[in-house]
Amino acid sequence: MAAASLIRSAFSGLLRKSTTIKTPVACRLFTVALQQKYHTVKTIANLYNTSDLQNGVSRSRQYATGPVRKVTPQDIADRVIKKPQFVRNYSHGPPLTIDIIKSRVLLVLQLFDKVNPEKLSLESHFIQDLGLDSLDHVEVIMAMEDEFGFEIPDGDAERLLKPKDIVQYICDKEDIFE
Amino acid sequence: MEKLRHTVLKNFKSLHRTRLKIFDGDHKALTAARLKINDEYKKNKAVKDEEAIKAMVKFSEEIEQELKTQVIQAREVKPGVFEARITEDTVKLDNVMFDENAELPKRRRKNQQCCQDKKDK
Repeated sequence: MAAASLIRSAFSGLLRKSTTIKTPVACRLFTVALQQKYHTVKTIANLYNTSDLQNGVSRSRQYATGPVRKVTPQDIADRVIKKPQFVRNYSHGPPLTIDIIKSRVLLVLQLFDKVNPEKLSLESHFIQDLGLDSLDHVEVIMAMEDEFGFEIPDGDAERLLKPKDIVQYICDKEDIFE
Repeated sequence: MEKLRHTVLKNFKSLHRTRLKIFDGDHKALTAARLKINDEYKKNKAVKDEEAIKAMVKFSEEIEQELKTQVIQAREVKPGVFEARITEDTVKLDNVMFDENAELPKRRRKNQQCCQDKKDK
């Protein structure tokens, strides 16, 4: 008891009464300096089982930086047990119409450095009209795979020798009718 | 012969796919690798001998394996500090633990012979 009153008197000069909460809040200026002494005082106080604790003044509150809400078991349960269910919304891909596919295919071919953009049309044959060889054809098919995001197997790829074949193939794969 | 042609084209495609995966983001390396692959394939376009073609196909497969396992990318994040990017295919060896008593091979002077040569003599 004596120790408790000692502590109380020691700290009372430094505590300022907060207007919003009932428990006294320690003045920050002295907090740092007293932290070392506080520890020993605290252990002594615990030994004597002070009435301060019985009154409901919690020692740890002295270092609070602002009004602290009491955490209820319900809050903890919500946080830990019932984790928030994330709902994922997957959107579908970019809109695809025949015109869009045509323009995309032609754009990819125009960007290919071995293709002459003036000779390029939907009907131009890669090997005969545009003068590409089978290796360039493989590169073109790879560029189409990257552009539209799906794999084209070799068996199908060797039949796609004109841009309009490619457009038709993609429309078949993506189920686009017009 | 048709089957061989298919294999060659398939290897060409997978080599390019590997190139895209390994040098991802590095435009200079990507274009340099693309030109190199295309040049090498075009140079040997006229080869008709089946055995030679099979050997070249095997060579391309080995190159692809080398690229996938041995090549990594590193980027400089701070002056002198690099961040490496490795994939699951990269060959990872065990660390050699530091051993104080380990014997390091002595550096050979220029004209010294290997111990094996000395033995034969």
